[in-house]
Amino acid sequence: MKGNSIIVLMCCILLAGLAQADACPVCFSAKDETRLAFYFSTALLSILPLSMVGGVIFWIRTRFKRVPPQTGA
Amino acid sequence: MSGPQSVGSPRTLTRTGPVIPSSLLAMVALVLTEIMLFAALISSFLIVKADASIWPPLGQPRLPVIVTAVNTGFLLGSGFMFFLANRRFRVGDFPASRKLMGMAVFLGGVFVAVQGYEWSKLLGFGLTVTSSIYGSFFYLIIGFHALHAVGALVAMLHLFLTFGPQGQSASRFLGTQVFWYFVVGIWPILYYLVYLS
Repeated sequence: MKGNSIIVLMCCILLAGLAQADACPVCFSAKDETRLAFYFSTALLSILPLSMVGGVIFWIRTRFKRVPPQTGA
Repeated sequence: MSGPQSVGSPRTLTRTGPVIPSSLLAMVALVLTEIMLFAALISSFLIVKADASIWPPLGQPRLPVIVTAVNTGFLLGSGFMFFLANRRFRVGDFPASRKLMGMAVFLGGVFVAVQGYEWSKLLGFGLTVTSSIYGSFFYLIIGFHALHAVGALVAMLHLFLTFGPQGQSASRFLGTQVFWYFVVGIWPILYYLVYLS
């Protein structure tokens, strides 16, 4: 019971001390061009690694199928 | 990357060697990380450029578009020479392959030399890393590319010099080729973004 009170008190202190969070990445510039650049960058940096890793897996799989196993004696 | 290997039973299907040489796979992994590095640089460049009201900033020298376009031709030519060298290599025509590799190294060297000359001129005109965000991004992005080009050229030169009558290790040849293709392939994108747009 005493532990719960301490936790509630700590949460209250933390909430009271919070400052406004400016998480918007385009706050320094609200131009359309900047917004579009952010969209493009987000898409590029999100899609590129996935497509590259997917491409390599596909390439390995294709090579694996192309090289037939040999019959052992 | 090795395939499954079965031992013991008399009639088994086995893969005797790797499906993809390990050195080639390692080079591909390296190139993928390099692509991400350049993607991050390009992203930040585009965002900063989109925020600027005037690009390039006033008072900064203009980049040598025509000379660099010609120089791009040297780099693409080098990549094509390496492509032809690979074709000769595959059929076992090692002397011709070596000759084409030498041409690829020469054209790549010309590209780096012209870039260095242009850089020295730009520095003289006042475009430095600290002169503006324009200069910072120019030397960062194009400098990183030049660093990769020099590294790849050293590898190519070593490959060329150790090219014996019996050819060269196929995995080494392919690994170097993959890296050079990356250097050649990413350049037109950088040229368009930094010099033209």
